[in-house]
This record gives sequence, C-alpha cells and structure tokens, in this order.
Amino acid sequence: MRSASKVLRKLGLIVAVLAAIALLASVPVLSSYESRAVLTQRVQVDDAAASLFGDGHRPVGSPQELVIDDPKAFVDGKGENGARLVSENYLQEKGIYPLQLRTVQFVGSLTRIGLAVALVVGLLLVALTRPRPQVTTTHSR
Amino acid sequence: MKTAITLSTLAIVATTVLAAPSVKTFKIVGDRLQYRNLVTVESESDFETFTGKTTKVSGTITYDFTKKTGRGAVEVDVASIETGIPLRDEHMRGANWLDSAKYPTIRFVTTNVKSLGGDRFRVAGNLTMHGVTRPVVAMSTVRYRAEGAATRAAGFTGDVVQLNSKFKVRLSDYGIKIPAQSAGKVAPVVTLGISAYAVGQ
Repeated sequence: MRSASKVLRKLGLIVAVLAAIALLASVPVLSSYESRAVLTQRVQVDDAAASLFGDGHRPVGSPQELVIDDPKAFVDGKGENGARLVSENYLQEKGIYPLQLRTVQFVGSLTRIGLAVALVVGLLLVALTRPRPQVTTTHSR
Repeated sequence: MKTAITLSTLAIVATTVLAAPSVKTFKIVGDRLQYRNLVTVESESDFETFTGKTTKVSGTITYDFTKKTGRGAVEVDVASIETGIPLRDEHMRGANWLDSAKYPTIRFVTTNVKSLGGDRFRVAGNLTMHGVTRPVVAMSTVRYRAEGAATRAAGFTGDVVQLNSKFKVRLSDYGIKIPAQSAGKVAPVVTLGISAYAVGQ
C-alpha cells in the first residue's frame, strides 16, 4: 500500500514537472508564431483585369494573419486594412498552405488548458500521497 | 457648308447611337479562358478561416445600357470547389455537406438589378443550393470594356464585362448541417464571392 502511494507520488511529481516545463516552453513558441504572423490578403494575380480595368489583384477571401516564411510569396501593394498582398498563384504553385495565427492560438490555448490540468492533477497526486507523520498514541487507564 | 457638315456629322453619330443595341447579352467565359473566373466560399470560425475556390462557373448576363439594369443567371460546379486540403474537399462534397452528387450546381438567378451609380449595382435574386432556393441580395460591380486591342490582347473576343459580387449565406437555411466532427471548424455563415468575365454575344 505504501509502495503504491510512493509510485503515485513519483508519477504525480513527474507529470507536474513536465507540465510546468511544457507550459513555460509554450510561451516563447507562441510568441515566435505571433511575431512572424502578418496581416495578409491572398490575391489572384489577374493580368486581364490589370490591362482592361487597371486592377490586377483579385482578393481570395478576406484578410487574415498568416505565417508565411517565403518572401517570394508577397507581391507589391496593400489590401484592406493595410494587409500585405500574397500571391495565391505562387502559394498554389509551391503547394504552400499557410499557417493561420488563429489556428496556432486556438491549438495553443487548448494545449495550455491541457497542460494546466495535468499540472494540477500532478500536484494533487503529490499532495494526496505524501507520507503522513505517524501519530503515537498512549493509552492511560 | 460648315452647318451642313455639322448636321451630317450629327446625323451619322445619331444613326450610330440609335443603331447600337442598348441591350446586350454576355456569356461567362469558359474553356481556355475559364481560369480567369474565380468563385470563392469563405468560412471563418474560431479555429480557422478557409476558402474554397473554383473557376468552373457558367452563365449569362444581359445588360440594358440605357436603363442601367439587367438580368442574369450564374451556375457554379460544386464538385470542382477546392479548399487546399483534399480530405476536407471530400467531406464538403459528401452527402453530409453539399452533396455534389445529388446537387451538382449552385445557381443564382437575378430578380431585380438596381444601379447604385457608376459600376455598382444592388442585385437581388434567388440562390439555389443543396436543392433549396432562397432570396438573397448582393452588392455587385459590373465593369464594361468595348472590344478593342486591349480586350483582344487579353484573349477575349468581343466586348468584355467583369462581374464581381459577394454575399453571405447561412448554411442551415439551405438544409446544410455541419457534421459533428467538423463542429467549430466550419462557420454557420459563409461568404460566397464571384469574380467572372463575360463576353458579348
């Protein structure tokens, strides 16, 4: 019985320590994505529109914060809310499906919640299985 | 003499203007020019924003240059919509979503077109999707370019019209239920956008 609680206590400690490390590590990882994300507008380069109507970029969807590490994907010009224009043609050609900051943050939040729960469970295990001081009782008649 | 020339010039101009048809029909380009069209479906949820795209769109637009109004019908091939993730495309075309086998097209037919000045129009019409027809209103731009060296250089034969339109659609209004496994990943309201070229017939 005592050895089982010893194992549980060790397990709780390991879980708590690992969860705490992962929680701390998630901060710079998320910050890294946030610093690389740029408000972008995906556009289809349209030479016909450019020559006929003087507007050569057709928006594909609405502006989003994307993580795009390839500088060649960007084209000249600005979109709605100052969004940088990204060539949809280039992304398609290179098979790039850009990471969305929204997805990173969503997954990051879920991961943090999971890690926080693991940390609490680990700490509870440690607390509940800690050796209790033995109480000596003396009976007097 | 000068008056005679002016009058004859006016007569020629008047004849030309009167002879020019005030109502013209344009057909959305296909085949080799199809890649110039773009239809998008954008879903914006907490998890992600994704945009389905296709160039497979067909239809006609009739425009009355005098009254500044028109009518038209546009059809989109559902099975050709791609979102960038093949598995998601498969799910989207499946029986639980758009069911492209049973409902192969999304169709929009105008009921009222009102000029808002310049190239802007308020277009009311009926949208048929997933076998359900409902009225929608879309703000659109229609830009016209008469046939010339520029249109020919761009690969078009005839006068060119560029149509741009965007409107929101609630999927449940069309009997489309988001499957449980995609809950939170697909927005209940999506934005449909169209940018297409049509040439005069």
